[in-house]
Formats: sequence, structure tokens, C-alpha cells
Amino acid sequence: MSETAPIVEIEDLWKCYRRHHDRPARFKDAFLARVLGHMHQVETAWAVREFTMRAAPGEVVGVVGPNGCGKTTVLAIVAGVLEPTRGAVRVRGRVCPMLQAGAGFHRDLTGLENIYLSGAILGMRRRDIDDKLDDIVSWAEADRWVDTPVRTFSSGMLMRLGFSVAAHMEPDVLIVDEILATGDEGFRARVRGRLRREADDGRIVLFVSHYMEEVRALCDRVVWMHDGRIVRQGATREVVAEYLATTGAPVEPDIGSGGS
Amino acid sequence: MQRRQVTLVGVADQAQVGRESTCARWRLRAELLSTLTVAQLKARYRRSLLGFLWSLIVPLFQIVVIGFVFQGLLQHEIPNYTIVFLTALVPWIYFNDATLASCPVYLRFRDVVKKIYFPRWALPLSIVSSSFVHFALSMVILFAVFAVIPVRFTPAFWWLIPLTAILTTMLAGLSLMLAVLHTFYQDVEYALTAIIRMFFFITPVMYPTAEIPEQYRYWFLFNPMAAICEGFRSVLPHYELPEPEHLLSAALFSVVCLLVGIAVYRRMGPQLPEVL
Repeated sequence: MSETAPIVEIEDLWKCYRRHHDRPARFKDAFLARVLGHMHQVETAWAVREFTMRAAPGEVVGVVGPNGCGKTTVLAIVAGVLEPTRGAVRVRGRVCPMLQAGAGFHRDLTGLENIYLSGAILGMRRRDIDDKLDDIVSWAEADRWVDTPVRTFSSGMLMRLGFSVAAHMEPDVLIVDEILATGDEGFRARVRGRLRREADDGRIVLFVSHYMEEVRALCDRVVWMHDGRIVRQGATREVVAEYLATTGAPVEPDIGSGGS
Repeated sequence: MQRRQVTLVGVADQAQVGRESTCARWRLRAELLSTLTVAQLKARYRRSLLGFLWSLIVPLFQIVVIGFVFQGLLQHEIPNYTIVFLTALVPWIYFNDATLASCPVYLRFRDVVKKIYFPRWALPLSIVSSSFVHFALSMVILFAVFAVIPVRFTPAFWWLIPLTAILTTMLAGLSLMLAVLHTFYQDVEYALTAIIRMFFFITPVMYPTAEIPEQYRYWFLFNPMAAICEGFRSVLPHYELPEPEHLLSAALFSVVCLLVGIAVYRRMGPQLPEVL
């Protein structure tokens, strides 16, 4: 662990995607566009506007909002994958984004080989993976199939293994972007417990979910986004209640929570 | 007007702690590259019975067919045709495999590229390095064939090292360039397939350069792949290394490829997660 505490500070972040109306996917199109003038209009779509947020060590910050409101974009910028168009983003510490089930896994490789593969992509030393291998496998409860190619895994198994690799790399900032959808309630509860513990150890967890029950159970604070802007941020209970009120959902989330 | 600033304190490359030395960071990158390489190699042959043998069976089959056409049908006698062909085919296949396999690499790893910040150049380069492993194994087989034929070990064999270095440098540049460009324009792979097929005929792979009419031969060898393939053949008796200017121009071309590859990657690489 680093001596200095992890920090995530986002100040007045703007991100615009240049949505080429139909981005030329082939030379022919690019060429035609050049020749015929502006055949494809470049439309600038602001995915994130005026986004200011700060997360302190030990916090689990939830990010909620309808599909396409910019949650993933913000988190991709925190992870360093996308560049902000404007604004300042300050991140201190190792950032570890958790991937969707099976992403980053090679279908034909075994679970074990994939642990090394995705560990390496996440920036783990091989000998660190060696040390943690048993923990990773047993946390994912994958002892029985870790020797078989992951293409034979169920999506729940893939997700467990993927989460386990990421959770064991001891990151300072964990990004959990709606990856738990395929997990059963038992596993989701275990993940919540794990994330809580990570936060209590002084890490930062950024958590995206459409299951408000889960957000309420886990997050210390919630940022509610809509159309790229922050609608409200603050204490979980109030923000979630207000968000749910606007979605028209009775009390529980619109998709139906996995537990009930 | 626009304020743009990201401070990823300590998120150096792979979200690694910034206090780590440059040396440690490069070690981590090297490990990533080797892990990716091993993964590519394992995945490539995991589901086939004959595994690596396929990469020998295919060219041998090619040799039988082309040998039959040349020697049998066209009645064109080239002494030791099989070995002459095979010696140039090994570097050619390295070139062919590494360039074509580089194109779709970002598309295949799109989930990772879109979510995780890591040295993305490692993906195309791992294609080159796994192709290099195949190339090295094929060279071992080739040497075994030389031992049986027998081809005597001469100082000309040392030339294989710089030639391989030139070819690998060229492939590293091409693979960076192709992988990035293909992500933007997905017809790169089609165009490349056509270009490579054409080059297969204007490169002395299935015929020795001696078959080229003398007045063209000199210019013909300015094709970098021609210089390299003919260079590989120089280990055989009666074959000679291309002129120094041919080798130099091939070397120069490979350095230019690498620089252009790096430039393309630097310029367009940051946009990869957005276009994927």
C-alpha cells in the first residue's frame, strides 16, 4: 500500500465525443467525404458536463443515473483510458477497473492462464500473481474448473473469476461499473462485503449500479447524473430516494432487484 | 481557451505506483509483453491436434504444389528447388503472419482497451513476438534440414542475425501502424491481403533472384523483402548476399517503418478507446 492516501478529484470535467454522424469506417467513405465536402457532419456530443466530484480514502461513492448519462465516461476518464476535453482530474494511486464478465479473458485459455493474462494487463507482477493465485482461485470458488478453458465457464463463473483477479491486485481506487448483473445474490453480497472492506482499508471505491438496493446497502455517498450533468450528490439515502422518485419506479429499482 | 489537464499521480503506466523506478516499470511492461505472447501462442494451437506442426505442414504443402508447377508442369529446372524455396519461405511467412495478425488485435481486445489503461502497444508487439517464436522454431527445423542435405556452415550464416533484426524491426513498426489504422479503417486488412499477395510474386520467394532478367535484377532487390529473402538464401551454396546498398536500404526502410509506426501510435493511439 502506498504511504500517501489515494485521491480522486474531478473538477469541472467536460468530455465531448466527436460523433461523426457516420464515422467513415472505410477508406471509401473517408475519401467520399473528403471529395463531396462534409458528407458526414461532425456532431459534438457532450457526454459529461461540469462534473465536479471528490472522493476521499475509505469512501464508497455510488454513481447512478439512467443509461447513457455519462457514468461510464467519467469512470473511463478516472481510469486514464479517455482524455478529458476540459477540466482537471487528479487521481493518486493504482486504479483498477473491474471488467464485465469474461472481458479480457481469452476464450481458449484456461482459467489459470487467464488469471495471469488479465493480471498482467492490470499491471501485476507475475510473482505477485504467483503469491496470490490460491486466494484468487478460492475467492472465486473456481477450484474445480480453473484448469478448463474459460469458454466452458458460465457467465457467473467468469464474473467471479474476473472480479477476484481485480480485487486481489490491491488497487487504491476500484472502479466497479455495473459488472455484477449476472451474479447471484449470494455472490453480490460477498462482493459488497469485499468492497466495504476494501474501502475500510483506506481505498476508494467508485460503484455504478442500477440496483438501488445495492447502492443503498453499500455506498457512503451517491452522485446522481443525468444527461452528462450532476443532478445531485450527497448522502445515499436522500439522493437515491429522489432519483427513484423521478424514474417513476414505485420504491424498488425499475429492473427488479436480484434479491427479491 | 480549453483547459485540459489530467494528473494521474502514480498512475504511471499500468496503474502502477509512481514512485517505482523506470526500471521496474519497464520490467512490468516486458512481463506484460511476454505474458501476452505466451497467451497468443497457447491460444493459437490449443484447439488443434497437431499444434505447431501445422505451421510446417502448410509451407511444405505449398512447396510441393509450387514445386510441381515449376518443375513438373513448366519443366523449369532449379537445382535443389525445395531447399531454395524453403529458405526464403521462412522469413516470408514471418512477415506474412505478423502483419496480417496485427490488424484485428485491438478489435479482439476491445473490452480491455476501453476499460483499462495499460501500454496498448504491447498488443500488436505481442503479435510480432509470437510470430517471432514461430519463425525461430521454423529456423531450427530449417537448420535440421541443412544438416541432412548437407549444407555446410559458412560465415554467411552470421548474416542471418542482422537480417532477422532488420525484418523484426520492420515488423514491429508495421504492426503498430497496421493495428492502429485497422481499428480506424477496417479495410486495412483487405488491402493488406491484396498487397501481400502481390508482393509474394514480386519477391523472390518461390524463385531465386537469378531467375530475374539481369537488367532488372539490381533494382528488383531494392524491395526490402526481396533483399531479406535473398539474404537468407545466401547461406546456401552458389547464392550470394545482395549488394550492400540493397541491405542498407532494407535496413533504412525498417527503421523508417518503426518510426512511422511509433508516430502513428502516438498520434492515433489515444483515440483507440473512443473508436473501438
